[in-house]
Amino acid sequence: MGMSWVDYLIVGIYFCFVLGIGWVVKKSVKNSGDFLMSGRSIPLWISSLAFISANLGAQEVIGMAASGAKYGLMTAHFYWLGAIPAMVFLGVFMMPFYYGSRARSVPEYLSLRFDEKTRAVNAFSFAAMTIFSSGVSLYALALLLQTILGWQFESSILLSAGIVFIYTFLGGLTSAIYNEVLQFFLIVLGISPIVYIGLHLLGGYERMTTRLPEVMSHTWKYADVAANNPMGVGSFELIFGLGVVLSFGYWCTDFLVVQRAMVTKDMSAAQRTPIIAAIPKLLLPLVVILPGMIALALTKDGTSFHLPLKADGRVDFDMTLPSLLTHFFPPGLLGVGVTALMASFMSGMAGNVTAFNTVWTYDIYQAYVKKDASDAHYFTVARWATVVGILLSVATAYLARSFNNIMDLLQLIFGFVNAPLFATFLLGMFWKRTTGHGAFWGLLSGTTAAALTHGLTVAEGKGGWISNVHEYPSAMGQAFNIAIIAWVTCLLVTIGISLFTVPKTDDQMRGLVYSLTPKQQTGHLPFWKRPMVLGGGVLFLTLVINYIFS
Amino acid sequence: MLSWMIDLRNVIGLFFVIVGLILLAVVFSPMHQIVQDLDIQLWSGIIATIFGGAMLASGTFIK
Repeated sequence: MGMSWVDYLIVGIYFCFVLGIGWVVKKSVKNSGDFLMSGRSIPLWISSLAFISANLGAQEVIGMAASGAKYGLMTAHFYWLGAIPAMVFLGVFMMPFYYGSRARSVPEYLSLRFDEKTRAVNAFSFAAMTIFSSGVSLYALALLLQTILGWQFESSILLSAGIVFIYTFLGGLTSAIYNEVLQFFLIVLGISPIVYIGLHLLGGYERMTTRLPEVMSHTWKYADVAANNPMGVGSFELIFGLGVVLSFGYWCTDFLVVQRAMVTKDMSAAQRTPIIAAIPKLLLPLVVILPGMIALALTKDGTSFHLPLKADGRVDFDMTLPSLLTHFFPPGLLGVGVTALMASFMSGMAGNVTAFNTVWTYDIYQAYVKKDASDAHYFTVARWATVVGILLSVATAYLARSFNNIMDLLQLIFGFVNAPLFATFLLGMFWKRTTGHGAFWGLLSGTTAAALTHGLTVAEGKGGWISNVHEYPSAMGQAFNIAIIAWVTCLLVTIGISLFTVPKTDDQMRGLVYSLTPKQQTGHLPFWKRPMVLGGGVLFLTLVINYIFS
Repeated sequence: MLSWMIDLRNVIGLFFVIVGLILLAVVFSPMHQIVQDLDIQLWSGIIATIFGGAMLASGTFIK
């Protein structure tokens, strides 16, 4: 089914709104703090929805539907085991240090808690990673528009990058956050009808599961050993690798998401942002994973819908969601669905660019290039960083088009850098004996351990560039194990070196470490304002959902 | 007008009311289609309009 004029009208209206938000927000952006930190005045409901939307980019929406069709309900572990506990932990235990320290970014927290070299490792790797992610988002969007709308690759890149540039340049972080919230509702309202149509056609959820292999309709039943499930991961890798190392590493230390909580107006809102965000996150698999399962069931049920195929005849899982939309959505609704996909790509890009310009301005330029300039100067630098960020994203998108393997390699390297990070933060926040030298060498050792493990193991033909010592049943299993090894290495090396080096004084670490920070008294507050109670409730709901779909 | 638009509820509300009304208009046009016995354009239009209207009302009247 092709796009009609009414679909293009909806896409056009969305573009007008996106640009309009940038224009309206521009009036309230007067200094670098407004541009990069939203003046620390974002209301709780907006920061919470922006918190999950920042992660609800293209790779998430398209990728989770693809994984739903490939692995079934086990994909929900990325939410119910991976994301939710980490988000609650961030809100209850880590936000008091991020927000309480008045750091403007995650790397700046590292500089306050440890030293400049640890901040530099995080700032430079994060800046590079955001540009890379932004470019990949742009590349994927152009590819999608080329495939389903027949638009030219170059025009798609220029149009999307141009729109993102205008609204981030005008309104900075506030503009990006406002658009993320609009994107959240668009995704929910634009994709939900496909779930409704699919389940209606299949005769409901229970009947849909009878069309799928048994293993695809459970989260835990076949997760005991790697050989029993299509993901190729056992319970240890799943719980420790995904549930602890990777998820906590991402949700608790990635500035892109943490920034959404750091720009709220007070500590209470900062703490509750990730916890409140966890509630819709709990239900998101219904919108992003279920369509993939529906697509597979429809294919097996002999309906007119079939999973899309690549030129070589293999299933093109990444096109599952776009195929469903173009197959079932009538005029008007197709415009809403396509707009939702475009919004997720563009918001993903905008989120990365706004995180990049913050880290570039505060953690690289102000820290290492020009320390004591006026705010007006940093405001200008931030705006130029936005321009450079967009241009580099466009260049990265072209690089991705020309050298797909280079992109895989970059993704791998960034994975190596990220995996050990949570160990550094965990020790830094909860063990005051941790030193800057320990953190720095721990991070480098963890990254090296990750690279070596990849070089010595093979999965699905990947890795083993040093030798083939062990073969994993799946690339996902390999990735989880690499993360575990990197994390444990970082933890042990950081502890070891910290014991032989001199820590900062208690005065220098006040407000940055658990034992040296006064505990907040929340007993007099109503339950919905108490992070611990809210977090406990969310975790209980998560347990119930895990049990229902086990 | 500008301060009214800075409230994100109004921006989101306005967007979904417009989208909802477009979908409802499609129902009365030759582009109207029933998908698998479902009038999905009609129901999506109603839901989008109600959601957008509720956001607009809350953004305008609840401070």
